[in-house]
Amino acid sequence: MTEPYLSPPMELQPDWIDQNGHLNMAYYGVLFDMGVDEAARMFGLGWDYTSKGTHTTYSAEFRIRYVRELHLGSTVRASFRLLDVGPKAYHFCQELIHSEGWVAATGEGISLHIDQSGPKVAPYPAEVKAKLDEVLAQHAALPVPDWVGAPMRIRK
Amino acid sequence: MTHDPQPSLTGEVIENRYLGVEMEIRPEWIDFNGHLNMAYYGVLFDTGSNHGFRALGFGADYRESHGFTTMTADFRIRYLRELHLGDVVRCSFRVVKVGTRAFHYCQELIHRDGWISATAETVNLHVDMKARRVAPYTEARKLALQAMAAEHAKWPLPDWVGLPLGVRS
Repeated sequence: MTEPYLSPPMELQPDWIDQNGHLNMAYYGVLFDMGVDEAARMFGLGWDYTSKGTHTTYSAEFRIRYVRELHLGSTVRASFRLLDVGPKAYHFCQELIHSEGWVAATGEGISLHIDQSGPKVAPYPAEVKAKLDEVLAQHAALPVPDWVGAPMRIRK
Repeated sequence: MTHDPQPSLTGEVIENRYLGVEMEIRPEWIDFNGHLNMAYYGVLFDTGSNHGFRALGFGADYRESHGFTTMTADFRIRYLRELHLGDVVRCSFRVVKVGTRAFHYCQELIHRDGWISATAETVNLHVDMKARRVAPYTEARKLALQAMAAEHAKWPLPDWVGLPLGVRS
């Protein structure tokens, strides 16, 4: 059975806690980004690739929905599901999952492939594109969360 | 939200933007790409909303005297241009829509040289600190939000507000 990718467990740092006594909103982004770094290794876009200095990945957009507060001592993992793959970019979604099983936040992002000589957006190498397409086909068996692509709004 | 209570941090309106103080990039926020890591734009947008929250009366004194705080429900960043160590930026703050227990706002992260590095869009909730539940605004805070929304409605609404995410094929 297909399952989304899950990152190794991650812990909160004391200086990420704000005056509300919980994980500050900005540091959910740090945890999601660490989760993407792990998942990118699946596609050959990890440190081995980016450290060569010719190509890398940039974030074009990222969105977080805050579902539940996190406190110091919590351990979370980030899931990763591919939603769409283009020649130079991919669209993905994530959940930040507490060690007790509940979802603390959701993430949705666009990652760009970058030629560092510009820097400019550039097509993926064939082997990376093939791997992205393979994982996309596997993840297509998973339901698309209903919050993906939803516009931002307030309830009245 | 951090809502730094320092009263010296105030905003000013310049060319249809309500701007906060200048902020610097910290060395530990630079990633393996040699630029500001995507996650720390969030820190700048959060810090760069303080002038707006303070003007609305959501500072530390409100939390202590009324038992309410604010929490983020939804936050989205569009990355337009890289930032590097040594860059100085300011954040704008514009109210988009006000509800009974939440409001929607948008921001631009503007480099000292005038270009926009990133945009953000946020839904912020009014929360009863003890119950940890969303609660209606007090009358004074609702009036402050509506007054700011009316003031900001005189400025054009950025065309990226409310757009879905996606890749170009």
